[in-house]
Amino acid sequence: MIDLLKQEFFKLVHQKGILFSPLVLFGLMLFVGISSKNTGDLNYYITQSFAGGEWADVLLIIASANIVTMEFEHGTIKHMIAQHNNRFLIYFTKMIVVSAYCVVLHGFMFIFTIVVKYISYGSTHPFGAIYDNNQTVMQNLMTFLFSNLFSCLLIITIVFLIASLSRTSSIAAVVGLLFIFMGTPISNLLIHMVGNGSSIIKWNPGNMFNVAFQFLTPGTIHTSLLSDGELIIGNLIWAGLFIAIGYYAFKKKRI
Amino acid sequence: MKILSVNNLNQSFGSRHVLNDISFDIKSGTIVGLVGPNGAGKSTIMKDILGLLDYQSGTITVAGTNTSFQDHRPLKQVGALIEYPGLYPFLTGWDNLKLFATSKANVEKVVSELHMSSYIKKRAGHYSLGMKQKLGIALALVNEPNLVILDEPMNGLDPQSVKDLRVLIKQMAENGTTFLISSHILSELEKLADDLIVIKKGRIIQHTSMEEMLNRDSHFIILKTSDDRAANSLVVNAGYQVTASQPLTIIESKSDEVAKLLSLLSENDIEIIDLQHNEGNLEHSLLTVLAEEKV
Repeated sequence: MIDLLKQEFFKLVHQKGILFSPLVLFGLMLFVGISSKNTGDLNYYITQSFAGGEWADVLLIIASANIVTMEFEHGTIKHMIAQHNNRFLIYFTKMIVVSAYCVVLHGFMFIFTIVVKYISYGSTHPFGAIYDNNQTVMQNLMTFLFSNLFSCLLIITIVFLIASLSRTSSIAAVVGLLFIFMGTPISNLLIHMVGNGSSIIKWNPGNMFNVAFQFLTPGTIHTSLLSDGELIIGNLIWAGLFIAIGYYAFKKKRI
Repeated sequence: MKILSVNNLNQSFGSRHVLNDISFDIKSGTIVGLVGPNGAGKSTIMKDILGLLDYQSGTITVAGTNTSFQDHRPLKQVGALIEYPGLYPFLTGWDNLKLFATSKANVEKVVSELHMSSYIKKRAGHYSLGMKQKLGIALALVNEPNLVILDEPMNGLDPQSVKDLRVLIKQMAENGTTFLISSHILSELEKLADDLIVIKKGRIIQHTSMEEMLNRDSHFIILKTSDDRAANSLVVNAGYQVTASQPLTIIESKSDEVAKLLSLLSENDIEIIDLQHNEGNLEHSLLTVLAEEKV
């Protein structure tokens, strides 16, 4: 497994797209920071990491789709299978590497939030000021980053599943983006439409993405109809299920 | 010693049977050609050996240990190039090799043997077809495997590279490496292979030595003599098969019979003006075998 991890990290850091992704993230966050200057609640933008969460999700979806499909597109999966006797290890190692990339991206998001805040707003809106939930802006930001990081678990497992079923990384990335960005609104709409009879529907995977909002805005519970604990359990169960189905698809994928 | 043993291998994709009861053994240090028409099942056999496909029944052993889709530990001693070279285009040729090599020395050795030094530090995505093919072959050879499986290795290679590869394969085989090579370039295979497996519609129809295969082909002699009529009756009386009288075309089965035939004619004062001797060739032999075999 150590060899596999080394190989996967080696491949990851040699991809230009991955190397430049923090720069792209910074540019996009800076754009949001500067363009939000004259809007109302500036602390909101800081605690939302200048929309860095959404941009990081997009980058993560692209990286996840690519790391699986590239092996089949380039035919390199043949070497990997011959060298490593365990397809699950190959699949799981890729997940670990993408998860590590996700953690690094969130680390960058934290640093960039501080930098962009000073570039865009100067010394106004200090991190120590009290904001939502009787917590400082910094505490809100940290809560956001951790909850967003947690929601990435589901994103990675879903995109890996889609990538194992897809022929190309672009198809996998587009379907992944649609699923992840449309999943929550569709889920919220469904729960709202069904109303009291939504006991089963509230456990749908689209609703699980509410975890990132609910940690920061407890009022989201009226939309998700699930407690924080239930959302965490739901996320873990769905992630487990997606890993199992995704691995089966990966194993059976025609080489 | 057998390095590879395939027994009663059956492979289907849905309701389509691709391989039917394939069985063969390969001895260490031999070069075996796997030939047959497109879609005969050559690549499927190779993929089954490499644990890339889940076959329905049969057994495959590499150096005495079973290997399959689920468990293919013996493949550590196997190198392969299947269908097209599997390369990471964003990595240099060197990094592609380093990624799967067990040592830096192995990378240096294979780069030197295949004369790839001039471009090995460039990104593989910028390589020509031939360069990619060479890198794919280098990947198959880099860990000094006991068994090398090559599917159409000559694809895209220039004549010099084809010659270099032939020399390298022969040299490695002399040192004990076994090769299973599929190729449509029969003239190359003829120069390389010791044995030949002919496959048609998922069945093995011949497993023979190259020498025997070439001997299957009709050897014939076309003669122009001082007296074709007399020569004709002489060779017919001697038991040879004559297919044409002008020019005199004689089919003979063994190459040493040419000398006998010539001395027979000279003993009877028939002067030979011109002689063409057609040796057997793999292409002709293979086409004959494939045409004869009704699967």
